Amino acid sequence: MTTDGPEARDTAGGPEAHRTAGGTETPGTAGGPEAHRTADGAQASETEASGSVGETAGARVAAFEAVDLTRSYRLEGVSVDALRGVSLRIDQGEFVAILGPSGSGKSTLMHLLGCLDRPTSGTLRVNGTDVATLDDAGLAELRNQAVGFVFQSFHLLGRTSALENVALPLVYRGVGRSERRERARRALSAVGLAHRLDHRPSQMSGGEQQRVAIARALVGDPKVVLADEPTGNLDSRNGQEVMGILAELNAVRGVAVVLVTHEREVADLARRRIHVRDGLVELDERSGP
Amino acid sequence: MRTAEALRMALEALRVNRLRSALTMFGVVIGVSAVVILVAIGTGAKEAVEKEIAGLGSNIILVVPGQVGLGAAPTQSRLDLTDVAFVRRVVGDPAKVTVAVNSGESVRVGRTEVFATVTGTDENLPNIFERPLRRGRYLSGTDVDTRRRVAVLGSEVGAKLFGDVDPIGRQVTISGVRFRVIGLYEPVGATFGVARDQEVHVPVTTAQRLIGLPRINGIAVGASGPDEIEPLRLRVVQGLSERYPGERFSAVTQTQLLGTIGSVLGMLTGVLAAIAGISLLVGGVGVSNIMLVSVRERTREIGLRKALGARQRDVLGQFLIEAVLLTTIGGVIGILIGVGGSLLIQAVSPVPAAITWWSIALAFGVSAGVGVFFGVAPARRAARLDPVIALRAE
Ligand SMILES: Nc1ncnc2c1ncn2[C@@H]1O[C@H](COP(=O)(O)OP(=O)(O)OP(=O)(O)O)[C@@H](O)[C@H]1O
Ligand SMILES: [Mg+2]
Repeated sequence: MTTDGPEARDTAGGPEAHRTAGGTETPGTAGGPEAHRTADGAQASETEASGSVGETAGARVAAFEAVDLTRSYRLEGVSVDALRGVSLRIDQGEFVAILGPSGSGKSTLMHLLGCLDRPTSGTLRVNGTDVATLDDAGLAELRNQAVGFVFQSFHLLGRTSALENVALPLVYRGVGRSERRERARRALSAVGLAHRLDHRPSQMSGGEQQRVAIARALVGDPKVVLADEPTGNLDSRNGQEVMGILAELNAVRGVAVVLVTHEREVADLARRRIHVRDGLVELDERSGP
Repeated sequence: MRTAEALRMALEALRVNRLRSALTMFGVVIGVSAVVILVAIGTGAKEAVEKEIAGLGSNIILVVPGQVGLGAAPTQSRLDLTDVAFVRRVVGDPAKVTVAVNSGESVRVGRTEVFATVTGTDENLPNIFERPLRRGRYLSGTDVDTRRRVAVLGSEVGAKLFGDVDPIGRQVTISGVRFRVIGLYEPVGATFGVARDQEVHVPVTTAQRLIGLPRINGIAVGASGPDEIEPLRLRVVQGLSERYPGERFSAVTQTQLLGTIGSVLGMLTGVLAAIAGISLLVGGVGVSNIMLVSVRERTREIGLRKALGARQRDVLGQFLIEAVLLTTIGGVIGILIGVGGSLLIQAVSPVPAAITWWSIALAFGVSAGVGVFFGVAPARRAARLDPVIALRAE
């Protein structure tokens, strides 16, 4: 198990597909600028614009396109509408904060964007792929490759070293052990934890644990990082550190960051703030360039 | 995810819960070792009996009056020495026919007394039965014709009465009548619980006088080859039935005995294996149980793995491999214990045990199968967990 195996997932064209999908957002592509690309379309575009990052192009590329998303839960016969028709578009390279009172549907929206859950109705395209067309394996692949998820409560495997925790997404991508470790080491260095590779979660501070979780979200080179209250369990100093990493990630690497927060100062770091209330987008405000 | 990766993960999971894994395996270990040991004992018993029957000599037909079967009541014999002469004519070769009349008697030398089976027979016995002599000679035709009071002792009778002293030429008293010892047999062991080393052979004529009846218990015929057995058997039974119309005679061959005993013991082995199999099944239920507990405990881990890109079949595979690993490791340990236990039983107890490859292969195959069978339900439960709900679990 030294080399990267050929077990590439074939549904959406492998890791490169997401990277290069941005290049297809050019006039002339069938369907126009808002092209509803299928997985096949993304794959076909792989040859073109290799190495181009969506951020650098003049035209913005949609990471998420949601049209009239709803999500209802049935609880003992009573239907709870957590989302009641959310339409939004988040482009690659954006830095978005989602705000709203408790119970307004922020986490529900994040789970849909992160492909952890499916909408009750409406359409959602992630990197151009309509999630309704995907089966379990296809959805798992989007989770694995298109997005990185950061949770409020870190969710690290307790008996496993930081390095192994970070490498875990690559296991499900069929990446060989040595390459996994190398990439995990790099991701950990990127969040300033090069000296904590062999530490277990219990041997690290909350801030360090959340940085490990961010490294894990990054290790697969996703276009988007979704973070549901990433600083919610941290003191302000650690919270600031984590926010600094996310901001840098967005600014330097061009990774889109979508985060849920209750804190004003955290939200102010973002260039766009989406306010959610009662399962609807109440306000979508942009600031800065 | 690759199989090697899944295997590594499963081993890691088992290692983390060492004690629990070991206890779960224990059930499988007991089941598998029980299968191996019980089958070994059953097979050993079968082999031992078959060896006994084969040890009688080869191609023997035993002719007895009445119906023979396991559990059939012995019939009063009406055969006598004229019938032996008749069977000799039927068979054609008088040397290949011998006779037996049995009686339990006390045999005494001085103040030492043993109970023995006194069998009246003739000079043809060694032509048919495997009965090597250690000392002296067999009975002779003259001994029979002149009704001599001579005896050939089974090895145990000889040892009890004379110890290390050579018994040839010495006197023994059989139910008050004095006999001269002319021979001593080698030990031959027991057949069907008949302790042949506790027999004393005397001329059949002498034995009839001793018992006071002209009857005999049975006639033994030696066929010249395996193919001769069946025709000879039919000829003898038919001849006797014609001689005594309306009466039944049975001629039992070794093959028949082997067949009957073999199938009975084969069934016994099967029953033992089935009982052991039940304990293996119970072990499997234990595996299922623990896997369900494990899935519940690791709900959050499963949710996380799914959130990071594990497909249903990745999770299914992970838990299935864990279950199969539990049972096959248990199976291998059980096989080792079973083989060791069988060898030990054979070494230290009179119970014979023969290890068979099929029981080992079966035990291993079944334990792996048990892992799959009892692992599927927990693994499916894990694979189908909703990631959002799983991540929220305690
Ligand atoms: N699995 C579920 N079953 C039933 N109802 C649910 C479920 N998950 C969420 N809800 C309901 O959906 C609504 C939105 O929940 P959600 O978790 O998205 O809120 P939130 O905005 O993230 O709140 P918070 O700021 O407290 O995290 C709530 O009313 C909640 O009770
Ligand atoms: Mg929430």
